[in-house]
Amino acid sequence: MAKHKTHFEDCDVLVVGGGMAGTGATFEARHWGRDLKIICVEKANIDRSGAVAQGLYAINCYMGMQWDENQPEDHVRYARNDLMGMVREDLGYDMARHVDSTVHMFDEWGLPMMKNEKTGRYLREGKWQIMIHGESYKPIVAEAAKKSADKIYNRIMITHLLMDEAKENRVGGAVGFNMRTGDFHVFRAKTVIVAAGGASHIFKPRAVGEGMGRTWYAPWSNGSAYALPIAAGAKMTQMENRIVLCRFKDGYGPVGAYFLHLKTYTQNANGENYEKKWYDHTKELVGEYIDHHPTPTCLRNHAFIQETMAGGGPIQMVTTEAFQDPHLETVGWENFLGMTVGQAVVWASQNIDPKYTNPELTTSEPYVMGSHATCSGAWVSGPEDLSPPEYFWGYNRMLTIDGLFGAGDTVGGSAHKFSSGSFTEGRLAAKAAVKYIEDQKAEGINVTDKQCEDFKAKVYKPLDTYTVAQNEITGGTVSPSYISPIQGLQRLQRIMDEYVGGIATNYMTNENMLKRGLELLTWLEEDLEKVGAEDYHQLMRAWELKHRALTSQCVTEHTLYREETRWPGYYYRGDHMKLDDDNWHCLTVSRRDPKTGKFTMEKVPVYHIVDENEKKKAS
Amino acid sequence: MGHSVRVRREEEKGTISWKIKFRNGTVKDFVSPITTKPWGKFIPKLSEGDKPNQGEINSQRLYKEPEGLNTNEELPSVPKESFKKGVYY
Ligand SMILES: Cc1cc2nc3c(=O)[nH]c(=O)nc-3n(C[C@H](O)[C@H](O)[C@H](O)COP(=O)(O)OP(=O)(O)OC[C@H]3O[C@@H](n4cnc5c(N)ncnc54)[C@H](O)[C@@H]3O)c2cc1C
Repeated sequence: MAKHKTHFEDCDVLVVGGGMAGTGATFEARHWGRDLKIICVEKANIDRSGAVAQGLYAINCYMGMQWDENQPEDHVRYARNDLMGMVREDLGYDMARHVDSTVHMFDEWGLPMMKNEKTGRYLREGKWQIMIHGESYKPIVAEAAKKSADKIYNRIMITHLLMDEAKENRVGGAVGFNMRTGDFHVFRAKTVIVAAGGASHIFKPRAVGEGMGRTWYAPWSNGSAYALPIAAGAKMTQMENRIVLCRFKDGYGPVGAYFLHLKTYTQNANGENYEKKWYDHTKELVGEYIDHHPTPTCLRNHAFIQETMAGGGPIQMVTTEAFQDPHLETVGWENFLGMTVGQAVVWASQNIDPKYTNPELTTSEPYVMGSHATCSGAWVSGPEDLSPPEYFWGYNRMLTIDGLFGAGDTVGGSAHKFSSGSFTEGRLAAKAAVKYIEDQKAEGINVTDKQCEDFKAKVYKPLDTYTVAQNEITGGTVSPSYISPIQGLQRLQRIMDEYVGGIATNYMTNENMLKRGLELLTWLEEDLEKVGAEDYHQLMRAWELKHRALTSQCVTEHTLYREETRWPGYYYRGDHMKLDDDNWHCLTVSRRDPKTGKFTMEKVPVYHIVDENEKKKAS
Repeated sequence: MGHSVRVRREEEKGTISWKIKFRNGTVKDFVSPITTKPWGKFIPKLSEGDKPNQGEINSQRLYKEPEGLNTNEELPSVPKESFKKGVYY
């Protein structure tokens, strides 16, 4: 172990992950904490890290309050409708009332925003989205974070949170390693803001073989946002609320601009509108929720899945009409080029020119995240003026561990934040963290060297395991005494796929399958004690895998707990096929005891803080 | 095979260009802006900007609010008396 140097850094605000939320937090922390030491630690390089690494073509969350296009109440209604009633409305409202000021800053900073020529306003893609030329969205927000931070550490993966040993349930910092130098880094911090992105690659992906590694959500989103707090004993919420996306086949190209701006539409192989066909069937499962407007995304997925199972595929996006307009054709292509370039590659390789061919769509494997159109994540306090007592414990966006804050994908309950809302939530968390320090809540933190040394031994164990176990290799990379990160990852993905509602079963699961899945996940956990790493890059893979595995356990426990099918089209509980508002109109909250590794579950009430006003119309 | 998507990003010009070549030889070119301002010049250094007002840390405001919302109004909120628990909407 001696060969790995340890570096110590003491700071006030430690931001883990420099994606959208992390850059927002780092930026804002400086405004409120002029003399504080603010550090951001990022696994990649913040100029091109996180889900926005490749760029985006739209800012998906902008109210336009200045023109009364939408108000925060409208956003709350929209998000709760899309998630079948289950969101933290206090968090959603709070994000929405601030998000416009974030977007106006992006405009000032030089992010190219498209304008509506007639009105001079931002060009709307849909009710919530505004269109941008966003290939360089991430480097622009990274610049803002760099100007605020005392220091940005790139290429350091945070593996564990440190806990204060003076006061129970208080955070003390975080540790990780530099995947280039191999050095160990200890950050002792008064507050930690976890902004480490969502979880992709926990379910077996459709893209395998030569397409391996391709995903819809960023492949490097490895669930650290969940695993770090779960391992420390923080409460989590709605982890069962995974998302399945309808996307262009094989390249995972997003469909938002196509539906909303280009007005393309879907059809089955016979050219029929298949969604109508499944109306009665869906109504039987979810009742009047199918009549809500707009139709919740999961229910549209449900029709897609049913139609495919009934033999109506392939489902296509009808592009050949819109693409005759050269302007719309350009929008259609640039939408991918500045966001998901892989889709353009797939189309070029298969001679799919959407001007002449209607491209195929598919439903993806499930993903877990808190910033996009679902709301898995940590259970956090809301803002004082908006939160009912069950949702408020002193500091906005603070988890159930003192001094530990979250933003973006990390935070559960507040869906439909997207890039702008995640940056905004980072700002909210940073301000609250500074207030926590000013209120003297972070005095006398004690993190002993022993705690750091213990983590250090754990962190490098996969290197030692490999050094010893390679002597027993029987052929290729096969050894009876270690598993490689890729072997472990593929096992995890199969367990989740086959038992927890992945593509293998058309998203179906039940109590027996989930219990069996949990058993297999426990064995995986045991075997991951013997994961081996040949070098520092593989060491990162090993820790990414461990984070994914812990996230997956939590997802499975939650899926087992909620005995209903709340979101058909995202997953089905075959033993409880119907939505059950009498028993399950509530949020699920879990906690894993760090000592025993056992999860406990509870129900927490959903508060509706805005009225229904725009009553659902039949769609 | 035989297809390609190539890209050139030019910070000085503030543009990005793509060339798509299909397997069958079809070629498409696209160009987009990447920024509207000289790179990084309009991003503030907050340590040098105006300090927050006394007590503002206890408000709900963020940096540049409420004026940055362009609404000429205070941040909106919701009275707690109107909150409802459980199924109703
Ligand atoms: C394909 C795609 C299309 C999208 N389209 C849009 C769109 O059109 N409009 C829109 O507004 N939003 C869009 N989004 C959503 C938006 O990108 C996310 O909501 C947002 O990026 C979430 O912010 P975040 O900070 O939580 O996560 P991220 O931005 O992903 O940042 C997480 C960061 O944490 C780092 N990290 C992870 N683990 C560790 C660790 N252990 N230690 C240190 N660092 C770590 C990562 O490297 C990353 O930089 C899209 C997302 C995807 C994937």
